[in-house]
Amino acid sequence: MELDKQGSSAIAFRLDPASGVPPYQQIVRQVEDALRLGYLSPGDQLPKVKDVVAALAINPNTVLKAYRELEHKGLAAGRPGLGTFVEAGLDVVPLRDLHSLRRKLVKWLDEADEAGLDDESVSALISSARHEMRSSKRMTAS
Amino acid sequence: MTAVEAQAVGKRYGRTWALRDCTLAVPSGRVVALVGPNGAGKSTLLNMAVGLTTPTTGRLTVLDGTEPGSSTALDGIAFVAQDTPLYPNLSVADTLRLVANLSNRWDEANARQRLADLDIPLGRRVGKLSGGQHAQVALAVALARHPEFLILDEPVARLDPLARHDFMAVLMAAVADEGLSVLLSSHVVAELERVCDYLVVLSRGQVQVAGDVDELVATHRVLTGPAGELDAVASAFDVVHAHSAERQAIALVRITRPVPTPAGWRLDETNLEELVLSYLRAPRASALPGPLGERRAMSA
Amino acid sequence: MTIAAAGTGWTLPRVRGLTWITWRQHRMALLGAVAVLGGFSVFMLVHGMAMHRDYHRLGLGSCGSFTTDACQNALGSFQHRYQSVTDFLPVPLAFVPALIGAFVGAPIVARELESGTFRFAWTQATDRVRWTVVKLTVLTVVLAGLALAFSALYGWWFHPWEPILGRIQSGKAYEVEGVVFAARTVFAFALGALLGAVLRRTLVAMAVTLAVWIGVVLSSAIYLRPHIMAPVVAQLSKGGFIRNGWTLSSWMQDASGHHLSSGEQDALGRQAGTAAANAADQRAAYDQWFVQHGYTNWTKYQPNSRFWHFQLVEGVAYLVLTLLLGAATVWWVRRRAA
Repeated sequence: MELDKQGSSAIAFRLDPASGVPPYQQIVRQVEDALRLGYLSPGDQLPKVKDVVAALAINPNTVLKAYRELEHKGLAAGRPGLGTFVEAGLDVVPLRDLHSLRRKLVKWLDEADEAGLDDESVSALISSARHEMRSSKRMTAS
Repeated sequence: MTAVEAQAVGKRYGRTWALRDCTLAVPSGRVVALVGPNGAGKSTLLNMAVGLTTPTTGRLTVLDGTEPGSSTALDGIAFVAQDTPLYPNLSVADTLRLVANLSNRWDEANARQRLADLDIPLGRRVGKLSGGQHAQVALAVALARHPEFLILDEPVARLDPLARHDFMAVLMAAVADEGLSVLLSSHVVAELERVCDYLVVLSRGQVQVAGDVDELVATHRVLTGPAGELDAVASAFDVVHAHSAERQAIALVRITRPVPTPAGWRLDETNLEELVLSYLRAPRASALPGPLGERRAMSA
Repeated sequence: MTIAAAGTGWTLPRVRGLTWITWRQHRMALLGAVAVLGGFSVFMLVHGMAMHRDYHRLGLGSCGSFTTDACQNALGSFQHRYQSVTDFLPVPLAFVPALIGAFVGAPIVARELESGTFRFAWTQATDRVRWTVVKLTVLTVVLAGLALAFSALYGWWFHPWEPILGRIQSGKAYEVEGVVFAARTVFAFALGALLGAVLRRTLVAMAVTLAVWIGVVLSSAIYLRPHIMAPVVAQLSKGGFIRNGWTLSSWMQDASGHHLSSGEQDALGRQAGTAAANAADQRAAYDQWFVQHGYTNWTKYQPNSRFWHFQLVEGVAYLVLTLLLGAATVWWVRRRAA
């Protein structure tokens, strides 16, 4: 097994050039995912720009843009001379709950597939269901 | 702050004009891609920027108005030419020594560190290095001069994918470290999007497109719809290039303000490669920096 | 981070650095030149030591003008043993300056242009004019030094022959001894450098350099050299000759100054022979007949004492050409590269 240890960074990034998502946004999402899954916690340092750039061969501005976006979202903050650090966490879902949710979702997707729904229809269904869930939550909250 | 500025630059070789009426202002502090088909004049433009040749007409300056080939320009600009020429009979160490002897600011430790990181033996003759190692030595030697501006002429054209990636990784790390301006020419567009943030398209000796990559991608869209309605859509949109099959047509359009998608059509985002290819297929179209909405006609 | 500043402009570190580069890039060519000169040098040392020893052993050093029988015999013996090599050696040596000069000079610019390495060498912090000037200067000085040393060695080797053959004869020792040999070497070098820059191909430049050099050298030796100083016109005794000068022409003329053709001389010779047939000293009577009838022998020649004058004039002329060619090369390189 070939293993390249990538320095002192907590997490590593990958880019999917075919995904249609701009590179900087892919980095933002991967940081958010890392936060959700518990790979990153508040106070951890995000990978140094130079290290990301050396691993992925991308323009440093892309990484800077991603980090700025994370700052804008309140998830990270830059400390001059030191780097960018995680400020706040996203709600970390315990791994056990994540497993059970995932199992239920796979089962539901199976049912939807049997019913003849394609991917687009499933996404549309999820969007509208989310919309319904959120508006009902707002109504119960008010 | 401009790294390269060209005003109506033309270059003639015998009867042929390699460059004709090129006007361009390449900003500094960016990684600039110079793309275009072979014979478009990319190498000619780069040769002028490093003082190897001079324009037949017009004026070209570098580093905020300095004359190319002057001692300031030579000192501040490092050049990695096509096929990364080095002396094949010199060892890597002798190559370092040669450049050190020609340089005003030479960082020997920097060069040695880079080569050590890449496991390139200093005692080996340059002619015996692999293609990737050869290119890395040329890059290391250029970077150890701590230039303000690094110009590369199709540096990775002949390298295998891994060597290409490693070369670009070293280059991008240097940009991250030192903030140097980079101008690199390539006729392979696909891999440039993740590396470059400013684009210049040279076609038939003239500048066709020049602008910030994010802005260019943001101001262009792809319209897909019924082939029969293509003409109607073309009159409402600034179409760069369109192609149609029997029933369906696809058009790359330039948008300067939000416009509603015509009924029955789909509006998608585009990417750098698609954008460049469309412009290359439409020689009379251009996207040059200027007031919003302006579209200058290309001279024939 | 250690940054070594070699300095801008013509500082000593920069010149030292460019000198190292010159050596590193052209050491093979220089070693080739050294090998060629070295080969001939070894031969001359070995052969010369034997030749000098025999010269002294035969007592030729004290012979003066070789009038005595003993001296004539010794001379004959010496010539028999060493003349053929002495006559032959200057012939290939006369061309060595062209070979060395072209071989070292042509690649300087041509190889960079041919191989594309000029895109690397001429885009560093030192401009290509400086690069060219230092290379041309360093190599000119080195080649001149090697050639002058070689000429001095030849001078030592040839020394016994100076009273016998002289150094001023065209096509012989003159071409190798003194300063003309070195001047022609740097001339070939500068010519090679310029042609290399203009033609952009090393081998082609070498060939053209040889051709042009041969043309210039031969025509200057044949047409220009005799006129460096007005030749001495001297009367000779019958059968006499200038031993160690450069004879340009000799003729017989009658009392009124009319030059005699060889046919006319043959006719006179027969007449003189008939007249002297009955004399006691036939040889003396034969010669006397010509004197009595007013026929005199003359020669036009350059004396051996003018050797250095001629060498310096030619040497300076080639040096001026060299400097002009060098300046032209620098100007050409400055113009454009790609």
